[in-house]
Amino acid sequence: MKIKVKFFSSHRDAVGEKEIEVEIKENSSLNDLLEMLSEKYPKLKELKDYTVLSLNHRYADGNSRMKEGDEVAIFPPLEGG
Amino acid sequence: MHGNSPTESDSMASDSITLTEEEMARYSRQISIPEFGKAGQEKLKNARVAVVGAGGLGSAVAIYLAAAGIGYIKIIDDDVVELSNLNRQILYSESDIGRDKAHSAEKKLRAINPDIEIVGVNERITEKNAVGLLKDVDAVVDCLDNFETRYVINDAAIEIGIPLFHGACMEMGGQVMTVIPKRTACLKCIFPNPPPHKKTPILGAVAGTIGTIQATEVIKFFVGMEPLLTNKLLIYDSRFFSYDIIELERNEKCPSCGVI
Repeated sequence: MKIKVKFFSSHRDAVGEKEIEVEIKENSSLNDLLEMLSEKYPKLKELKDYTVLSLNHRYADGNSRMKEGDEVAIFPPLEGG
Repeated sequence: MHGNSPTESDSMASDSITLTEEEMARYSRQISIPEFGKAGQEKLKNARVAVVGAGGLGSAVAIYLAAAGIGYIKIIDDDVVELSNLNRQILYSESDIGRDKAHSAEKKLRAINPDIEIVGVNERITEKNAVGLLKDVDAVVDCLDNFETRYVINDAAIEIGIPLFHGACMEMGGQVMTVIPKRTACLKCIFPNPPPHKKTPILGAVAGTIGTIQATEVIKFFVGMEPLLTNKLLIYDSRFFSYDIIELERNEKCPSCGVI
């Protein structure tokens, strides 16, 4: 199935794209997606501990399952003020 | 109106607070906003707000809250003004370098609006003093630059029962969310793990954008305008002109506000 993934801030820098389309196995979880993306973009692994996820514009945890056409966002907490 | 929603205190605000002729003139351009009116302005006059952190975000927040007529503003920061602050911390001028931010901010804000009460507190907010410093306000605005202290004011706001208006920025983007304790997601619900602390690059205008969104949230809250960014995280990215909203919910197991 195909899903859309958006990246923000440090995660966008790690990937070098603000948005990509990904082909992934049916019923995969967000954790599966992160693992797959970390293989392709190793810098994402370094950000793993403070990665925040959303699925279809809703905050989600790594165990959430995706379906065809879903939109995932991957971003960090921002710190500066 | 401590801990109460603005709607509950509507009648109280209108009964006990009146606006002078000069105030009516000063705020006329916002009083004429249909949902705002004289009653909205009176609620702002009655409101007591703490701005924690008087940097890039805090500058924009404090200036707009003071200009809008929030009756009492407490600015908490223990830093001194440095040259490298001046790209974004628009509360200060070159002549403030080396002076403490809290009192420099107090002076600048008083010049903007002498009709309101402004108190500068030159102290670092910590677990020990947070509740003491925040218990005399109705809302706290998070303009900090580190998560360690953000968690401290998040927990203090929950303990006291006052809303927390969170903002943060980095490079060309930022995020905003509003927390109504025990009713909507708190900072710890959404960001249980902080990013590693470092001096983050920030464009001044971007800190200003995030700060003005926070100030708008505060004003909307007191006037009673909805919706707010409660259970929502707004992510702004100036590079691509984008605003994304992520829907949030409370984490029942949250170590700060959870029920389990």
